Amino acid sequence: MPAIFPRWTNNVTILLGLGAPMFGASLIFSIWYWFSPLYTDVGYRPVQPVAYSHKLHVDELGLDCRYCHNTVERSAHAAIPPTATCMNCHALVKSTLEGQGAKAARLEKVRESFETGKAIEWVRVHQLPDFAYFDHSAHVAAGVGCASCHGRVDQMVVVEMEQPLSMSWCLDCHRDPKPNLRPLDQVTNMNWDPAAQSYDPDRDPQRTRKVDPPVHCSGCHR
Amino acid sequence: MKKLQVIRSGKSEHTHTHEHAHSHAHEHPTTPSTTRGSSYWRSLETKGGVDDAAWREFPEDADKLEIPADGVSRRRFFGLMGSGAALAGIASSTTGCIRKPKENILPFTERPEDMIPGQALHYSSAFQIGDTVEGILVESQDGRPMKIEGNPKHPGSQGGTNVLAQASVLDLYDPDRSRTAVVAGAAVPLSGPLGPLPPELEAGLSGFSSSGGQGLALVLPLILSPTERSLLADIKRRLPNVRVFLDDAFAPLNSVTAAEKIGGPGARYRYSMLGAKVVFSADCNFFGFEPDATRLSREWSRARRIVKPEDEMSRVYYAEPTFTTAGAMADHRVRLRSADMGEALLVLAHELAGTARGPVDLASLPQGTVDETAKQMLAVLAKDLIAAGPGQSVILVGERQPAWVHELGLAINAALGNVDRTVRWVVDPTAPAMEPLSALAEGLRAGAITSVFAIGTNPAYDGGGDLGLAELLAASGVTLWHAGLYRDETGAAAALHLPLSHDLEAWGDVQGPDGTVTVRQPLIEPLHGSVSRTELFAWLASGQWIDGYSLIKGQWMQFAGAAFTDAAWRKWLHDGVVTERPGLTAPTLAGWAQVAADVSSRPAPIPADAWEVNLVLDAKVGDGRFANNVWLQEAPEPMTKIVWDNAALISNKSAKALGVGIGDLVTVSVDGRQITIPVFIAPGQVDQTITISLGYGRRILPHHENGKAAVTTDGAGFNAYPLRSAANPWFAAGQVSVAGGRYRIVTTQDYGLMKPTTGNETIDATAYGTFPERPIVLEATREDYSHDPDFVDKANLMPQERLQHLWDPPKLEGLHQWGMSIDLNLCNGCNVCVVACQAENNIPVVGKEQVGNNREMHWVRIDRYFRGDEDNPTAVLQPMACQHCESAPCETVCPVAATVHSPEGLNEMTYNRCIGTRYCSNNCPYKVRRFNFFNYNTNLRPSTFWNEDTDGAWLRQMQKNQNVTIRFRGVMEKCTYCVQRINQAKIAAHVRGTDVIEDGEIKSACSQVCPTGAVVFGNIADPKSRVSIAKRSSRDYSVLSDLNVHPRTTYLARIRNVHPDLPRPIPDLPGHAAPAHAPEAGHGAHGEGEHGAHAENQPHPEHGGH
Repeated sequence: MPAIFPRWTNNVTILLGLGAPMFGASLIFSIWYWFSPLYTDVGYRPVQPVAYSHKLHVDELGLDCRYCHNTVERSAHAAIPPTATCMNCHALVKSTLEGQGAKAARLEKVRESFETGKAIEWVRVHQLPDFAYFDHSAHVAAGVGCASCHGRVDQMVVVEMEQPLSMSWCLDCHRDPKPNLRPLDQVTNMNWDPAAQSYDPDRDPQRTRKVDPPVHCSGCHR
Repeated sequence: MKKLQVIRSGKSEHTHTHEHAHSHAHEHPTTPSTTRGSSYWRSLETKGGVDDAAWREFPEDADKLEIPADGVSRRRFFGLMGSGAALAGIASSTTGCIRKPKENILPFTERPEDMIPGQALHYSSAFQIGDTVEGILVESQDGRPMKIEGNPKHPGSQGGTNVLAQASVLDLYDPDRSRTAVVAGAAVPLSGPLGPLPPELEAGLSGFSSSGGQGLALVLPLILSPTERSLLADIKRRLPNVRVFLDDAFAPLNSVTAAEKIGGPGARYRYSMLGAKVVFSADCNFFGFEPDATRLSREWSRARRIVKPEDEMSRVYYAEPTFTTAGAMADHRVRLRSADMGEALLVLAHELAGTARGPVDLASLPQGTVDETAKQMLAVLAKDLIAAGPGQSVILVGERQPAWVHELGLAINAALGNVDRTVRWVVDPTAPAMEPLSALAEGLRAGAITSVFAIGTNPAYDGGGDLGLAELLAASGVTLWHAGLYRDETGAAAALHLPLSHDLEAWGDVQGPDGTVTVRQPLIEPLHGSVSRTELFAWLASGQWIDGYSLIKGQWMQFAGAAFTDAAWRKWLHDGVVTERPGLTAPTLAGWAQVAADVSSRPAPIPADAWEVNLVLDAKVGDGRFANNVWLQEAPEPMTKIVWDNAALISNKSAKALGVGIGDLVTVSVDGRQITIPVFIAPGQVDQTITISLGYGRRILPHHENGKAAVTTDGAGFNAYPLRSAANPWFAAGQVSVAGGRYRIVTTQDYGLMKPTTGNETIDATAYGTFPERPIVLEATREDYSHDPDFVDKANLMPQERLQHLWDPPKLEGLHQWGMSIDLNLCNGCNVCVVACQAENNIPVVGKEQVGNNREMHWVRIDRYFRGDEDNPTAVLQPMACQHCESAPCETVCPVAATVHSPEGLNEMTYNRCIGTRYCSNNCPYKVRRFNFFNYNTNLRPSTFWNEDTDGAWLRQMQKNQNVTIRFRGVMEKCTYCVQRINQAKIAAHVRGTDVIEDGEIKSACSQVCPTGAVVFGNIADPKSRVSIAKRSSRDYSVLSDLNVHPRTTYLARIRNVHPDLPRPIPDLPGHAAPAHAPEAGHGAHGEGEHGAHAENQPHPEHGGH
């Protein structure tokens, strides 16, 4: 009787027995690793239409975050500033840079936007899913520093995502917010290092309420 | 008549759906069984000899997930999307795996003052329909108006709105709106409100200015704008020969005629229910579209909000031909033909004649004749009116009644001392003289009118009937111009059509019936470069284009004179009320002599053997101008629960006599004009009368860039205007005959009944009837309530010791505990909350087909339960939304914990976790969970990959509330207590540095708009909050309390303030019925047993024993 299955097929069972779990494990690993926001989102650094440097403006010139993102204490959004905010300074800066060619050209889009009324199309860096409702004002009022979620923006020439902004990452802090709280007047201070200070929010007289972030679904999902 | 949907009486499976698979073989039992436990019933099918379809868990079509192949009606398209959208979904999801799609942020170049992205702003404005003016606050999210609230500072609104105002924001974004001018059938885009106009228009006007407007007719709605009135006077100065006609079914023509006869030119009166202890309404549905209904509802609610049995409560008597919500809320209701309302008032006048003296000698009026039941009620009413004392009562006469009945009502009110108290007279000195449409028809026939300019009106549609305006306007010698929101019937026939701005796009002003003036602010630039009515008036008056802002502000500079300051102007805009305006004066009532003359010369009543054909404004679409508003189309008619259609309402007896059932087509004819329309059997309808609502059977042309063949409203309902005549616009004698054929009418509520199993396959209604009545709606007469203030507790079927939890209920440790109280004594089922919820929570519209499959998505449904006799029942209305049970049955069955409890007592629904098992819905005892069977929101995405957006997806997106997730196919949703508002208030409190949210800071969308304040929402952990106070009332009960689920929404039982001398409309409370009033009542004429309806309402056996 001729052999229907050649000899090598004897190994198929063994190979499958070894290979299938391996394959399964690698599938799980690859989804866990490559599909997680930690991989897909952290380090996202899109090219912006205007080469705005936070390092220059914040670190070197010493602008406070709220000079531009001035809605952060009152609204869910820390809104991208209107072009007019840029022009507060650059209306004057422009003249001193007259004739410097390349440097002045960087501002071309800003001036054009200001003159035409057409918005600059910034690319969104920190993006949550539509079903998650994050509110900046609540976090600022609780004393969560800008740097806690956005990283050292003052050191970034081009802004990138430093944290995964995933749900588990949010919940880590919502379950135990203390390590990320700082004095209410230090929220925008990029150099304030929580590790170096021994700050206890419970003993801060400036705080009128105990921070008790929601961990139930409707706290963030409406 | 289009007959596309009409299914000839055949075997089409479609016809026999659950709702009204009305089988003619089934005879309804004429005497309901006295052993019935449940005296409440939802519809005739479910009462008594039930046809099996009503018990069926799913309608026949519900298992069909395919899309019906015929694309005839666009109503079906909602949620039934083709493969294009699905493919787009796949494309975006594969790329989305790698990273979220790239998103741009486009900041302002200069951000307007006060505008904070993400923070909503509210602007005051006003909504006007007919003589009703409501101040509104429009919520604007990032520049997009998305929600309308009532303005608490405005007397016509007092914080509430009517359903039309609530839904009007959707019209702004309606993709079917006209977007271009149309000249001779070709689109002419407008570059903006002040851009160049079609030269034809300019040429036409200059032609008229030389002839002084000879042959020109303006057809306008009721004009209440001071600026427009003044411009209209300017138009008449410039074009002295122009004629102005009024075309507005909402305009209170009859009461104005009556008022002017008695009080002279410009005299107007309006009712008030403040301080009215006894109210008689002659067919005046003060919860519907009667003038100023929102204010009347508010005032009515003040005398109905009782906490203790001893509290003052008004008593409402009601006479009407068709069961309306006001009839359901009345303490005593009689069925009376519209034609007999005047007769009833005459009977009442003679009952009062001995005691009440007024400017008209009531005894000298002719005698009226009504049936015995009505007579009995009127006799008691007369006594009650006298007992209430002068100025403590009001007789309301409905707008459908002819002028002489209004005059009679005014005379009786005057005799009762109600003038200046509950009937308030004013003179409206600037009211423009406008001719009726019949004069327009005459002028067109005679050739005196050669050009017609319809501005915001639709005479080709609503000038039907004996006027025949559609034909007259289409005649060759007539030039027709039209300006409107839509290219409607008139726009289609017009040589020139202009798109008109929506009220939210245009500056304007409006004067309420009490003289309160509001400046309407626009919330957004005109979306389609349209012009506003005020601007059009100014152009007619001057030949110049002046922008609305300059017009309105300039006019008010003139009106206010020296009192005008920029600060005042800003305050007017902010508050929504103009203060620098002299109040209206009261007229001298010198024309009372006219009343007796007009009553004596009243037309002969409709003979008893003829059919009375009643036309009413539709509770959904009004007179038709809201026909393309899908929110309104899908909001069930409050009593019949019909969606997307109108029907001929007739009584059960009349239906049997005709041999028709629900959905059978009949031909209704008045003076030889006829329409064919399906029948709907309406309990509480007077026999031999038929009621048809206007506003359906519209034909709107899609706007020009739209490649579509039809608009949303196409195919909805039947046009009843052909039955209208100039002489009898609201009711007339007519004939009804069977036409043959059927039409599918879809209603909500009449499904999802439980069929108890008895082990016997042939279950009859009596088996169901032996079950004890469960506490769903509870009501009692005031007398019973005072004898037994805790009657609601006795309705609980389970003894307290048996109420035990299967699991430990969730621990509720939050600082705030949210709860709601709904007062059934105040809820009149006006649907405002349903639409407000839809607007606030991005609830999709699913269309007639899907509602027919029991898949409506409303988070709030208003249940209507009939009780008693099937011809003359009483009714209770009960809003039902998620009850936020503390030990919620839905939570325990969810396999993925998508519905869980928050520490503040909210039953949360987490869409992104939901996998759509629908277990929660199956386990919900209140049936308030809604499942997205389809992706109902695909119409928010342009159907092409290009951004051309011919189907209006971007427009639809603009209305959506950005604080609420848009739900996708396959997820469950339900009332969240407006968790977005709760969270926003909490965040605002945290920013202030506190945890405490004050009472009243959060209002759910339903409680905010409720005109009667029936819905109260708040923190039940705070004993001083309004909701806590409401819940402490002895009327407070929870629905199905025997389930021990501890709902957070509880209800306050309905109390009927029954007059002891009249038969009780509802049965006595079980247990203590007989001793409660037999020995002590002592009124001999108790009427027990002598009244048919009463005898059938036996108390339930062994019910209160627990």
